[in-house]
Amino acid sequence: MQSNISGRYFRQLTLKNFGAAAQEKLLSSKVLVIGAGGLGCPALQYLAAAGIGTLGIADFDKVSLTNLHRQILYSANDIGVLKAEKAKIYLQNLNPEISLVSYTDKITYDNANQIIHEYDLVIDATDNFDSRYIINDACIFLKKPFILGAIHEYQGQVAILNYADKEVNKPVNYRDIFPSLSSGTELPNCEANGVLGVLCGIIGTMQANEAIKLITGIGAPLINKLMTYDSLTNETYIVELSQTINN
Amino acid sequence: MEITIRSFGSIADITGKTFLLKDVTDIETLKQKLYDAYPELIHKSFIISVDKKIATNETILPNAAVALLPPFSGG
Repeated sequence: MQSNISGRYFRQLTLKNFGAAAQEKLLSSKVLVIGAGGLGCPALQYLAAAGIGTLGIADFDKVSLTNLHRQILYSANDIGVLKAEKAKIYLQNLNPEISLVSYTDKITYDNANQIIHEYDLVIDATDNFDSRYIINDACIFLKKPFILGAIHEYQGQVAILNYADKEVNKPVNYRDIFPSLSSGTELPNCEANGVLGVLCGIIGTMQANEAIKLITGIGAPLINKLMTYDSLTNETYIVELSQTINN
Repeated sequence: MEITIRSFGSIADITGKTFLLKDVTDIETLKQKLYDAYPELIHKSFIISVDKKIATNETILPNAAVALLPPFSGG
């Protein structure tokens, strides 16, 4: 029984424990990806292809030459074009059956609640600390879960934060684990430290995978867990988070 | 007692990916030993996990898996 679900999803519909019920959940879900860069591009591509019903793309930046080694939705012809607009066109061609919404204003404390309010789940694919806290704080206010993704050189982090259901005691948010970061200067970004495009691909794809698991209810999503992946050794290290602070 | 500690991200740039510390019995002594051995860590943010859980000021057993995890910022 596949009801009216498009044939484009057939290869995932046939997966054990997936099927039409899981696909319907994806098709009725609303996911906002904030940051259409190294992490956001692969996350957006797989979420669009998988059939997330409404996919928001938030990025105020324009494509530059130094983006192209990792931001795989863009080509050399797109330099100078707004990423959110270009990503929307690319993804709409990839999957004309979903709704795509682009946001080209920078996410701030003034607009975050209004934008995030429309969605069930947020993917934090930003590259700086200030944005991370804005997303975190808006998600706390709106009681929305978000999936953190971040890179340091050859390592990446993924976690599902601020997620609450009857099986989880208390949702952990970013300020629970890193409350005292006062400025962006402490933390180098990819611009300063460099990054291989494939690691962004891996971590962004892991974020998309966690989103699909969370929405469909399959597997064991990284709820209140911080996973670190080391691309040099292929090791993963998963730590259970709590509201208890020791830093 | 000597424990093996794993570091990630920018903390590993300071300590190496794994290192040993002696006479660590709980989180407070761990922090003190860390700051004595690597003074730059005083200015760094990181969470300490013991046996893959966020640790409070609890006893650290000799075979415990201790890790230092800083926030990552890039994307």
